[in-house]
Amino acid sequence: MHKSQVLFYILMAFICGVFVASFLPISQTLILVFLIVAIGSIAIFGYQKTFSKRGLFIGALSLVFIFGIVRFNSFNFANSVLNQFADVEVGGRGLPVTLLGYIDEEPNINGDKAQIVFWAKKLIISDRTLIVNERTLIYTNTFPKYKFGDELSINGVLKTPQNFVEDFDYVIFLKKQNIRTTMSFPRITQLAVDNRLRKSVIHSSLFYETKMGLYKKIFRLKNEFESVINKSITEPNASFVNGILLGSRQNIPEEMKEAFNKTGTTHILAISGYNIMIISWVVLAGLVYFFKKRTAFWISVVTIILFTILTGASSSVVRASIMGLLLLFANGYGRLYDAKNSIIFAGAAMIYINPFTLVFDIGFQLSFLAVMGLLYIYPFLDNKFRKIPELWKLKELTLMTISAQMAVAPLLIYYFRQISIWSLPANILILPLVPFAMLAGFLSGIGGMIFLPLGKTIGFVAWAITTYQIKIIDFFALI
Amino acid sequence: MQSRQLKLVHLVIALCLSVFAFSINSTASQKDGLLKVYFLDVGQGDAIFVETPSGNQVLIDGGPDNKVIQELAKVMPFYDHDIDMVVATHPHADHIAGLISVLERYEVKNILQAKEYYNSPVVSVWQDAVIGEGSNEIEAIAGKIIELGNEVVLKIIYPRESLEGQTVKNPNNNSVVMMLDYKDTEILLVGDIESKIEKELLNDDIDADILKVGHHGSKTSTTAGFLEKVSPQVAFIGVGSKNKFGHPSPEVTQRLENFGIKYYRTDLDSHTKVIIDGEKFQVKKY
Repeated sequence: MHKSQVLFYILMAFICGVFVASFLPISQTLILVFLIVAIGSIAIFGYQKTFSKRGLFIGALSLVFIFGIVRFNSFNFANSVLNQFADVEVGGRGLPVTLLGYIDEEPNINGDKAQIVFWAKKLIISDRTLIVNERTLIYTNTFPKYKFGDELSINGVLKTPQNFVEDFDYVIFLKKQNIRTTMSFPRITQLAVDNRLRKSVIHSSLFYETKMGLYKKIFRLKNEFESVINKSITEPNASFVNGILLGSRQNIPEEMKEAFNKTGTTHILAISGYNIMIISWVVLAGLVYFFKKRTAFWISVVTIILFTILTGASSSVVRASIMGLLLLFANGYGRLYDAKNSIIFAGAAMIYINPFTLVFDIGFQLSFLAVMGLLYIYPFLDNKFRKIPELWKLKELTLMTISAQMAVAPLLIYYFRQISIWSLPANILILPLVPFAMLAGFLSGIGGMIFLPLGKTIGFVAWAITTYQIKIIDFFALI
Repeated sequence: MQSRQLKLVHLVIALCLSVFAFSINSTASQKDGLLKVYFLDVGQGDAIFVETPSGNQVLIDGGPDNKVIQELAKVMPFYDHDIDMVVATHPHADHIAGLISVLERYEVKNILQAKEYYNSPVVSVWQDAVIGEGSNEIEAIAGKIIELGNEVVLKIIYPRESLEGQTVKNPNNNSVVMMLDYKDTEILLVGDIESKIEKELLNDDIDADILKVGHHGSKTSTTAGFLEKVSPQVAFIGVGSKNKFGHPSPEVTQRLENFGIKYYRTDLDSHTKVIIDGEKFQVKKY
């Protein structure tokens, strides 16, 4: 067996382990039994009299498979201290606790309510203090506003989340983000910098300070950019531009999201692999004049990594970057050395980091399949239709859209029980303009940060292009 | 290859130009010497946008969140990022929270409000935003008249005296009450005043053709005596669908019907505007 095949099977065994554990509760005893069988078979087939290369390999695969199960279980049943205090009632009322920690993500604001992901470091109940280290979700009002990195003391009642509608598993949705408890409208106070409690909570390690300092700077830059776009371009186009450039979806109006959903173009609203590829193309095109091709290529890879951090490195953007980089390697510079293994490896790494993504993250599944489509179906189609002449890259785009759509179709039918026939014309009509919209939006943002009227002037162009795109989507959504 | 890519750029330029042409054409057709008052659909709250014949723009309240931004974009041309005056009738979140995002995005020249203090987290953010915007601040006191050009005037009817330095418990009853007046047509904008202030105003000149119903149609306001004195033909209620307060209250809508007043609700009628030529007015969807 070839080396690359060995790697492929090992990665697949891990993914299968996670997959099985996602559906079936596998107890500790069962895992031990599996483990004994796996080690036993390795021992037997490794013994020189009964030596079998194949048997040994199967034993190794079972070990990795078990590791997949263990990884899922350890994530799923991770010891939660906060959980022990959730839903505890004292005299008919919830038991209030105080949590100390900091805001771990940019708050999610929806109308007059906000949701804050809070990293709790310490739990105080009456006179006892416990060290904790986990995330919880706080529901609160939009005002006063809190921001990423704010160090807070919150006092309220911990609850375990409940599913509130039938067709949406809210508990899993939160667990996927490593959140197992929530707190509704707690009393929130900011911890002063010189607060004695603060010092005891957040051991001012150099790593923590640098990380927070860096992230705060990045978010400030991002917010500044967003606010310039908001001042330069009218709505809903500004939200759209911020969506395709920074992946921020908060301000996009519901009707617009729905229209994009209906026409199978949602991938444009957020940062997707396509946006990442566009960025690297632009960087490549600009650098090729100054550097050797190889150097330019690596600079564009670094640009993408920096860009990912700039957008706040949310899981969906990280995923898009990985997918975009894969595609870049595949059809940009040279050939992807081993496409199949690279993509499986990327997938396995993401699944290792968060085992819930495999079965519960639709976005992960869709983008994974879309990339598969581009890597496997597209070359096939391209070959079939090689006689049709290319026109403004329209043929390439059409075939790419078809390949991606074909790959994700089964999933769309399974989840949404519908598939839009208009998705193909809608995609073909707007995709070619996405690079122009991104470029105009980017220049408007950068120009506006230097001199606002400049940003506004360039913003007109971005507005015109995105208006066309939004109108097209609205048109197809209404059919 | 090079020439083909150039062609795609040409196509994009042509596309941009046609979008501009189309949009500017539709904006130009709206410059027709009429006063327009839009009752923006911002959910549970008030937001009223006024455009005078000469193009001066006034936004009265901003609703509870940044939905007002989306709604403003529907009634303002794409290149316009200036608003001549913003009015905050009173410091409740369903009136000023949206204005905070308006100040963030638009260049606001004047801000009209009473100078009371009200203890709420929104108010401190709003005050910071006002200071940051650096607009000309106008205190709302009865008797002030603001000329909006082309004979359009905004007369302030309430509060009667300066509220500067006062901390209020119920901001509703300190709402700025105004009459928007264009030749023969009058629109009464009452903020969220309740029956107590309605009674106080009975002896003022509050007769109007159009009434912005007070306090989102809550039963605290729009008393029969007040309605009789104002005697509008048309009324507008700013409410969100399925709001937790049960606004507008059936009593108030019943009262409006008894008086034969045609009323529009932002939750049911969504996008409505009034077009006024000075003599007569027309209510239209947009």
